[in-house]
Amino acid sequence: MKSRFYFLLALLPLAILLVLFILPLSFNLSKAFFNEEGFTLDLVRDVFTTPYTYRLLAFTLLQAFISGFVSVLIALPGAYLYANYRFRTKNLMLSLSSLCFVLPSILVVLGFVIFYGNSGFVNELYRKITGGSESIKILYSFKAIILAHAFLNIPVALSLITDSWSNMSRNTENAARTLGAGNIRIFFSITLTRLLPSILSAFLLIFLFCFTSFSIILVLGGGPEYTTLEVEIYRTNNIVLDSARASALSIFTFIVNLAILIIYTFISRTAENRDKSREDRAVPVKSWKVRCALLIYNTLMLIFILGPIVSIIARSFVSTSKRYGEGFSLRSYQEIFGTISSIGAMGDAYTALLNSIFIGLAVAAAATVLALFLSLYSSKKNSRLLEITGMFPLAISSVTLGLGYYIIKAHIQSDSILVSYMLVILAHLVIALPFAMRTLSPAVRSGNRRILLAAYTLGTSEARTCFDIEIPMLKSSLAKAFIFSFALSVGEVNATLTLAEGRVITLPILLYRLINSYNYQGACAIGTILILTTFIIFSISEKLGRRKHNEQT
Amino acid sequence: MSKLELQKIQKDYPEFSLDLNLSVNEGEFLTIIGPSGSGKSTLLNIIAGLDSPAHGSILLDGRDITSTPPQKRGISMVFQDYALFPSMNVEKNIAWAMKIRKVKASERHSAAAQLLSLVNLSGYGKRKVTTLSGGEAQRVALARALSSDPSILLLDEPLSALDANLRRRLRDEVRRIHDSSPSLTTVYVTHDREEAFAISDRIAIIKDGRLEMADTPENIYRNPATLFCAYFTGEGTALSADLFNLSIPADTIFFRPEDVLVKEEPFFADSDSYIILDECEVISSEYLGRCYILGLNYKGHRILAESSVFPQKRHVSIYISKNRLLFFKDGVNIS
Repeated sequence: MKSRFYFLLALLPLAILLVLFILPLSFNLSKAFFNEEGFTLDLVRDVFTTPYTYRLLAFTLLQAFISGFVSVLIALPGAYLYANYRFRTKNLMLSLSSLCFVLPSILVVLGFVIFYGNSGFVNELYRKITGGSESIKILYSFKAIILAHAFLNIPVALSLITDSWSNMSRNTENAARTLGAGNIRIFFSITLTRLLPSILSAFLLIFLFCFTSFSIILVLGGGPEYTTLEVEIYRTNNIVLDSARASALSIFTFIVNLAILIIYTFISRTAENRDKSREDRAVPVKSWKVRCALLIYNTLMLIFILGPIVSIIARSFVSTSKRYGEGFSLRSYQEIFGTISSIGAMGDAYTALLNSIFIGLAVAAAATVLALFLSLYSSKKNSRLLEITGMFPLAISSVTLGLGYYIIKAHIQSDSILVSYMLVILAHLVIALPFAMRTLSPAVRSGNRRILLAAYTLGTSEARTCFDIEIPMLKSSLAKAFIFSFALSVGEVNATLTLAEGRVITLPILLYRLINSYNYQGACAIGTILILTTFIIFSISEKLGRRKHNEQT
Repeated sequence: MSKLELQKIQKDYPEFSLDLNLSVNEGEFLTIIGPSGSGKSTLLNIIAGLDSPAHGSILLDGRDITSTPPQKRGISMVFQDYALFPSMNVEKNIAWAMKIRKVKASERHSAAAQLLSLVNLSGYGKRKVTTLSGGEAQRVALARALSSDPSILLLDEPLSALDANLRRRLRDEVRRIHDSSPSLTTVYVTHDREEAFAISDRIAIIKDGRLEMADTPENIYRNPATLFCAYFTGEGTALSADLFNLSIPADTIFFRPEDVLVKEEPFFADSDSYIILDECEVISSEYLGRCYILGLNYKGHRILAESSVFPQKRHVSIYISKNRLLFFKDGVNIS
């Protein structure tokens, strides 16, 4: 059947991607080919041949590899427990862990500083126990980078692996058992082999995230020895002010990213579950060993996840300012909502909150709709190329993208604040789109095509079938895509900072400024609001997802 | 004039190449059977317009519909996995096609209720489709397919996912529903020959994308066009024609188990009407309830015979009715 309708649907997102992504990117990257004398390949050749680039690459790969490895390793025992046993707090734990994934990374940075820092909760506890005045140095080291990456990505690994493990029927394992295989043998030769594609796909996804990670490395790494390609691009452009070289580096990074992305797309396809079993794999917990394991794992996870989050909230009520008095204080909240006047950055807090919500909603709505259209078309065409196209922006860092937009903005030469808003929204849209795509396209692909065929034979047009039947079937994935896009937009710092030049203030920008001016109480109050916003949107989408799930079973 | 005419339909698929002619009469219940991967479902998809042939044409009431989209063919389809719309309840599923045609809400409601009672599901209208059992879901799918008032109803292995008892009950209902509307033409795909025999006016047998035979169930069973059809429609024995002195230039003779008489004691039969084989060794037996199917060994040839009792002796004589013998040459019936 010819389907012109789906092609028309895809035209819009493809055109938008072209204008919003390819255009600024090529503007930016083309700078690498020009110096004072005109066209040249010297810059690119230089970047591609100097050993320094490869040292950066090696470190970037190393930290991404270790981050991915550690995250998967910590997630595996959890995935085992969650997939195989039924216990009361399971859903809560899973939702909680997915919450960390949608927390903005600037917030994670703040939480880590408050929780693990020199005067943080962990060290205060340590000093109380040892009685000394020494502290453990966790932050501003390689450890800190890995720890923060693990915090953000364990939930990804946990939910991906738990999902595919839960969907594996026990039959093959039982068959092996009747043939006399022992538990360990069964795990390694049957369970693990079937699980491997999803483990690998989780690892690669985390690898990709960490490869392009920026603010965590910039703030928590805290030293030139821990410089990744992304940070180097930023440094070259914003500190050394050599934008041509930054562009050349961007080209290098882009190529490496693209390779990882393509590998990921292929592997994650094989990881999609084909043998979905309807029966629940999980059994009630009976043995004490399992009960203990669950208790220990869940407690550690709770401390690990909630520690930084709760510290932010707690710290927002504590003033350390000499001027306003030390101890419990609501001052930051009063400043935010304007009940007492404030000086400095806190004056913009209320505007920042409204900006963040407005921009976030606009971005989430647009990204979800565009990703939906694109994945509908790509699943009908069964085209991997289209899917990769949609994921393309993942291969580019927000620093590089922000630069591209900056160049465009310079061409527009408009002082209107509206232009700044538009550019921020568009840049966020490009950043959010691949995540929305990643959430939606497996759902669209796994939908039952015969339901659509049945509608066609009843005389329903393609368009009507798509809007009335196919899209309602995707409700829960749409909600998920929406929340991911929203979270990404609400947490975005780099592109916003480069583009808006301080004119469009969002919560994370404010947060960034407050951290820089050492107003931790204010930062934590903003952080708390950010957590709350994320949490509310997150709960709504979880609720939608849960309802859908109940209908299916 | 036939209702539906498939003329020289051709298309290549990885597993087989479709290449056939087939016609279906108005009001007829035609069943397509064949081994899995023979092209049955593909053929149904082509009729519905969900797939298109590379060559050939499809005529509906004499009108060429080869390039008509599925929406405009007035042919509806029931799928093996029901394919109900999960976002709608039972009644909305059934009323959907009428809503598309802008039928008034009140009329939709009463028509849906009527269809529900036709499939014995009165009162199920407000149920979520996800709460239905397999049998119920398939009845809803059937009602939904009928709701667009189709001139042809296609059913693609609709009962395969159900258990044996339910399958038997539902297949009778499918036939009853077909009979309740005199102009309705039904094309039914199954791999279950018993199902096909039970409900069809005519059966078409497909193998490797080609039509082997299309005829009434009785003709197909009694006079199969090819050796493949003979085996596919029931048990039987094929023996090399060299064993017998025949005047017909056949290479193989074929007969059904029920055309064989098994005798333990001498039995005086007319050798003009029976082929008599003595000293057949009983090597297996299968009890079917109404009779035994015996596996016999005659000089190294395996013969299937029906017997109402299990023989006491190890060796028996058999009498094969000559007028029931079928003669094949190169797999084709030449009787």
